[in-house]
Amino acid sequence: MPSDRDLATDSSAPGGTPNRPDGPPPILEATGVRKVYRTGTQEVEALRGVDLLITPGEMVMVMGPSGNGKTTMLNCLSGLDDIDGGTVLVDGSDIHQMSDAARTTHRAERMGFIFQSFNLIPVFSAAENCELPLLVTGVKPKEARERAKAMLSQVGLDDRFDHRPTELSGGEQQRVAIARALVSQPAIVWADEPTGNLDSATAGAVLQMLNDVHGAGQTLVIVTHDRGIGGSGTRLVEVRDGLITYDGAPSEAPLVGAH
Amino acid sequence: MALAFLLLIPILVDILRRPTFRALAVRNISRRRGEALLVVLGGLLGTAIITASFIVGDTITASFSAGARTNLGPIDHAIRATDNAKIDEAEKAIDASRPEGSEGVLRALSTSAVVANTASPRVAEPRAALAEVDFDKARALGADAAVTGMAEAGPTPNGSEAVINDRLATTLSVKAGDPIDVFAYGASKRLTVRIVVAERGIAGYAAQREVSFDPTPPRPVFVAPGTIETLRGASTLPAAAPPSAELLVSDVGGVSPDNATLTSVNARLEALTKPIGDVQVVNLKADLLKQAKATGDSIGQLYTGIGGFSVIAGILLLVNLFVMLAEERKVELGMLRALGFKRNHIVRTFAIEGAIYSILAAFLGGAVGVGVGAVISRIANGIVASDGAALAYELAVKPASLITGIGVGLTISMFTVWGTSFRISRLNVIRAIRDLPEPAVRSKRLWSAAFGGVGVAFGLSLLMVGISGKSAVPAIAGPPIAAFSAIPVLGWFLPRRAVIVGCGTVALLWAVFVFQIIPDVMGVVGIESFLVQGVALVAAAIMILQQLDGMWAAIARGAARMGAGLSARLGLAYPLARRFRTGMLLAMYSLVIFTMTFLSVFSALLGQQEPTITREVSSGFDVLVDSNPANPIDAGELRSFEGVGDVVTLTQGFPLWTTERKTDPQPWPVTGVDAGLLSRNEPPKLSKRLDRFATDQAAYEGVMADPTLALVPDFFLQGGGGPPDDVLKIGEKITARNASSGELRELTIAGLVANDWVFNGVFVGTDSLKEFLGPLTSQRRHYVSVASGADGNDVAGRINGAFVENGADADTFRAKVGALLAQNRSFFSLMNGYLGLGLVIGIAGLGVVMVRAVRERRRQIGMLRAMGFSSSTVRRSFLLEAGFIAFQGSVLGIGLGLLTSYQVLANSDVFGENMAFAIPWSALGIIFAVPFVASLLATAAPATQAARIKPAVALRIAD
Repeated sequence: MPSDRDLATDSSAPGGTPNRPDGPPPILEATGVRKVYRTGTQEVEALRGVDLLITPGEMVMVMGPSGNGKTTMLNCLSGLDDIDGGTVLVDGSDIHQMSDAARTTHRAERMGFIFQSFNLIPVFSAAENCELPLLVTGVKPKEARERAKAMLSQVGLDDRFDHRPTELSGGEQQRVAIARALVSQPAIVWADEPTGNLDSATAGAVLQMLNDVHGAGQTLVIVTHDRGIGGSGTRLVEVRDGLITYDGAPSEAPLVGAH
Repeated sequence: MALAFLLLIPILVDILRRPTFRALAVRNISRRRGEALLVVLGGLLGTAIITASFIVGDTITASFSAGARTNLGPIDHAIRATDNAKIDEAEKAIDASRPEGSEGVLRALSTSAVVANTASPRVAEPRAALAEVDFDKARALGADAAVTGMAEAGPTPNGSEAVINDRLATTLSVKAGDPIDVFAYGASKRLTVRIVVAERGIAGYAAQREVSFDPTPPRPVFVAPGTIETLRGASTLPAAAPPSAELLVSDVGGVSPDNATLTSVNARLEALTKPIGDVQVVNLKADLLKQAKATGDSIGQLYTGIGGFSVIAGILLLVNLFVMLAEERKVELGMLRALGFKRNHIVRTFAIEGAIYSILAAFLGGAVGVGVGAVISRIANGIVASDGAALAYELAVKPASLITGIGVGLTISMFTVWGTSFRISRLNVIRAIRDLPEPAVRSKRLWSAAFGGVGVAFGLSLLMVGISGKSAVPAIAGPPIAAFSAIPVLGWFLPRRAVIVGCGTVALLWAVFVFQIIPDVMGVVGIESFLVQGVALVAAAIMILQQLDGMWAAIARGAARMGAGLSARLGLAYPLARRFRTGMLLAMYSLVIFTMTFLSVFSALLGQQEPTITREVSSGFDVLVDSNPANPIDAGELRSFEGVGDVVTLTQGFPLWTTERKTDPQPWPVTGVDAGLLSRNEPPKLSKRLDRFATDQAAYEGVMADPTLALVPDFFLQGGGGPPDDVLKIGEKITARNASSGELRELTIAGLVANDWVFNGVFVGTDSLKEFLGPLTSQRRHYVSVASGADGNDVAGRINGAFVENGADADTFRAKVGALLAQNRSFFSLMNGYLGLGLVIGIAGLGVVMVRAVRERRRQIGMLRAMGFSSSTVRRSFLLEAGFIAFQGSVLGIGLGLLTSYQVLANSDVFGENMAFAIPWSALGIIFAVPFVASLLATAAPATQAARIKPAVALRIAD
């Protein structure tokens, strides 16, 4: 019987692996990623050796039951959190070997994030929120503002530039968050339950927007527990008990199929 | 305290009867112990400041009272007369009909003298009194010989024996068996100290002990009967004041007879001696105790007023902390509401938690207040008790004061707790559960407009009451209350921002120019008026400032251009967006710094006034020479002294005074105006004079010629500290009373003396003074001009050495003024130190707010870090935020303080002198820099904590 580690790296895992050696060079390559949470004397191994290759232009849906490691995997692969074993290469650089400052800079330049609760800065307007990733990478304020406005226009918020988050609906706030994640043209956009706080109609609109973004060539990794959404990507990864138990086409995934 | 208990009763009922509320409150405290400690600290400081004010008052009252009781011992009344034969008659009358309540009478004869040791160089005590009493009768005065101080004194001195008290022995460095020389009436006698007794009771008493402003009462030297007469017989100064006989009367009740006894015995003594005529009965102990209480109350009130600024800062801190506490627990509170908690349940749960903080803070604050009071009393004593003065403040804590301090602190905290709890309970359940911010758009509410209308009417009524009653506090407070209340009313018709700026400007202008607009009402103001003015100014200025978003945005852009970039943007964005919280913090800083600036301006101005005041008080002379009234320096001898150019001798006396508003007779000096004083054409400066006098010189000449006129110092009859409590006006009447004969003389005020720093008191014509007070006048004061090329300090020093026997006390006018200015400035510094407690509140408050802000913004910090904000940017943004608030608060406080002090100086005589405004740059530098740096230091820990937040952890908690 293969071990968990073997299973996670086994190209014959259900669904087969799309990490083809003859395909385009991966934008992200995770190998044997482990993450342990320590609470007092108790240790919980949230990731038990995750291997994953992501190539440019993919829209990877990460699914699995709650508490099985989906968000932890997103945090570790994006460099938001430290890992306890393995490597994560982004564009060939091991992000966990970088200093905190270097990894922060790397995140600013190469990553975009969307979260369930939007996480907009409440004291800034939509445009100000949107331009933050540009300003942090040294873009001139004037240019940053223009690009932010352009991006907000793309997500349909032409008339909401100067509104603060409290003056926007949930759907509008998430669109600002999407614009903010995309404005600096990151290599990968990580989205953690981006529709979790939205009603079904708004969630559908947001999902459509993400699909449009993907259609424009953006690499996306979306964590979701919504099987409907999970089936809309180009690839589906299922995480259970800290391991990838399925990595393949959404249409063939038992989990999505069951849904 | 009763009010505090009233506010606590419903909470106590809930604690006993509602275990759920109790458990929630207690567990929330134990969940965040560090922050609970900080909340307690915030409340504690407020209570400490209030309690300390009371303790300072208690200490001063008790010290004066203890001094009165100890120094007077069994002596409760003194019966005096110019003619000693009348004292004999009075003694017979009392012996024949001893008033009920009295239990002894002692006759004493005393005269002012100088006493010196025989060492080389000699040490002299210029303010001594030779006293002749029968020691056996002295011990028998009252029921307890121990309190007379004479229990161990032995028999009445014989021949050349002298008995002195321990304070005088210490001054002269003599002990039993040592020789001393006494000088009186221009004659001297060598005596031998037979025994040194404690300075207590009769051994601590000397005539004129009751003169309030004199911290160094004469030291008694008990001599053999007949010694005074022998010296007087050999007198070379026939004009010197004769010895005064007096009867000292003791009442039942030991050293502390009750007030009723003191009053009734005094009345009976007056009735008994009235037929004799020209006899004065002084209710010595009652007067001293009354005066002690008045002084203690006055100084206590001064500290309470000054401390009021810090107390308000404490209240603002508590409000801020509770509101933040509620915001932090918003989700929990929303859930509780969803589970069925009513609004009043939320209020009561919060109130229990707040009550626990408040009770702890109040009791700990009371204890800390005692400590602060002790420190202030000690420092104050160090300032006033220079030069061997008798004052020694011993810490006194009246249980009533401690309870009141704790009660006031607790009441303020409880009002704050209830108020904020009600505010907290008004949450939207759904928004709270989803942790969504409250909508920024405010609805117009009819009830708030109606309430505002009532406020406008109330404010205007206050103004009317203030103007009609010439009462400063309602006059200052009325228009700002009306202006603030008008905001919800005008908000119905006009844009809100314009309304706030407009109303704030009206309130600000009123508070700044109130001294100019209603000068009649602002003529006599106390510290409470400045407190109200400060609150109005700061509130209005902050209201306006918070509407200036555009300006701050420009500053943020400017900061970004200077390289502060994103940190500045973040650092400014939060305080600008959180207006309530920022307003509270700004008010905490501004209020205290406003007062500190105000005090510093006056302190610095005093420091610069030395040459001016010297010129204004010296009448063109260089050196002021005082000597013992019974053995004054002869003007002729002084004139021939090396280095002395010219000498003018002043005639002085000590009558009792009353005014239209101060009907209780109080002693105050009077000085004669003669041609000598006016010879330099530079008489002491007047701040005001009757129109008919074209110049100050003309006014003095007018007073010299007209016995019904007087020139009065602006601090006439005032005790305690702070601004004058009653500014007299020219043309008003004052009445002088001859303390011995009881003769009254009504005088019209012809002018106000601007700076009576050498304490000449009231000026009247010399001839009329001599005619009025006769032998009660003395020629102990000389104004000396030094010869060309001579140094004033050198001449003064040599006069002191050469005229030891006359008790010479010579100093240049400049040095005298300088020493008094230094003492005044020390008090200003002490006040500023006291206010510093308020700054501690502000700084601690900012630190606490930043700790809470880190927790509150955890998710946002996580997001910023996820987006690529470096940890140093996050740290810098917190430091900039704190620095921005501290900077803004400090600049606002300093600006308003300067503006107000300029207005007060330019348009009011409230501080008595017309001083030219100047900015004390160095003091302001300290006032700005210390709290600013301290604020950054207080924020360093939370800023570092924020920088260390791991994005994944923060976001994981959030999502």
